[in-house]
Amino acid sequence: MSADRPPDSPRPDLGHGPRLTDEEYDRRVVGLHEGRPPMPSREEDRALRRAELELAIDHRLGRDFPAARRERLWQVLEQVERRRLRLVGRYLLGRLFTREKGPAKSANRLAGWMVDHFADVLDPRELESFFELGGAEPRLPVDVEAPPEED
Amino acid sequence: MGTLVAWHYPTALFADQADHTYVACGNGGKAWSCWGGKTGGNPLRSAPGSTLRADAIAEPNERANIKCYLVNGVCHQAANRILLPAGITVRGVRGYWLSEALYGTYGRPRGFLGFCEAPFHQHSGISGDLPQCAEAAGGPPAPMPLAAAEAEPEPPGMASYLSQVNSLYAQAGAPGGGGAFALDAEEAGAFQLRLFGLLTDFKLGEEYRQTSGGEALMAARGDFEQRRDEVERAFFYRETGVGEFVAAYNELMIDFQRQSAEILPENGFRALLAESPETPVVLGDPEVARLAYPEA
Repeated sequence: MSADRPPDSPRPDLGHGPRLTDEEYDRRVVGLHEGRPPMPSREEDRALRRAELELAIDHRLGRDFPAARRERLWQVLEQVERRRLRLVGRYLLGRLFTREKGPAKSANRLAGWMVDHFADVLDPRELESFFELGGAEPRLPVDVEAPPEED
Repeated sequence: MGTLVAWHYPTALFADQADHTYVACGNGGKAWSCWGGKTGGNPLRSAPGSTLRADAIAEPNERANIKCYLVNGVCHQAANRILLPAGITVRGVRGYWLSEALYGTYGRPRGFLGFCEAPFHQHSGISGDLPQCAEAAGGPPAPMPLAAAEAEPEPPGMASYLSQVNSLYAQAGAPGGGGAFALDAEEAGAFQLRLFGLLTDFKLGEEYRQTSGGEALMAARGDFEQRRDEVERAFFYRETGVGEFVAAYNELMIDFQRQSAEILPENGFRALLAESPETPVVLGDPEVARLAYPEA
């Protein structure tokens, strides 16, 4: 994750041309969403997700990243979205049986699935630049109730 | 105009892997929890923005309408929604690019079968600042009083129950253990049973599991877990369609609730599942699901 690269610090060159700066990325991603309706249509939602991916690639891989590989990443995310919708069942069951906050196991499994399939498209350096996992397992923040004890 | 500040701290489980995030106004007069804690940690970045608008986006429960945690998004997406008036995000915290790839910058608004719809209400017509954010101060936000809904007294035993649940997760996540979320299906089923056992102890009393009713309840829960895994696996690998999946899930849930109603007295059923035995909870209508999600 970003442990080895403090926020707003330079990124390594991956050979895919210039990248959006952190500030430019922020501006564009916020601008993409500003003024949108609360619940976009399915097609609007799909277009928004695609635009987000394009910005993420421009920001973390490079603006000249090949179109064919962009398309392959998009196909992975399309599958991720379908699988995300299936988390709803786990969410409801978790609320019923364990009062868990959310379907942590399934969501982390989906996160791992996504990273594995991105790894089929990206080389290790590209994958690290995209997710900044730092060699760690893909994990979502699932235990967020309280800050850790101060040393 | 006020200032919105993004804060972050490592989550207790899997420390160094993902950060919790929350938002506060610049003087610390108000903070929004984003599904978690809202004190401590370190500031990430800040920018000018309407705190009144941020408060409206956050909504009274401070979750910014990220309705179902880990389905619509996580704390990162809730924080980003609240930070919209300042035009900044929590980009850069641990785990952010993973959650952003999965849920997008502001969370996924769409749900399934009418559950977990999470529209992003931007309240673009609101400007100005909350009175508590208008005063000049500085430094980290002071500890916030709990919201009214959260300030209700905890039921007896709640703290002990939560502590045991956390210990269970921590044991599963111990070094070399692979983590509670990397368990194989059999281990995950056993893990869920242990969680259910703790819930039973908390809701029905520790002695209940030693009775024949308690043993029958745990057996029913174990049976459910085994059958659930089969149903979910078939759907995950697209061996079954959405209609079959919903029907099978409904059947499992109704069957478990029917078994529980046979085992438990009515007050025990209500205590454990917080539902009435006469109105079992189900996932949805398979016919509606087929119409709504033909591609799933």
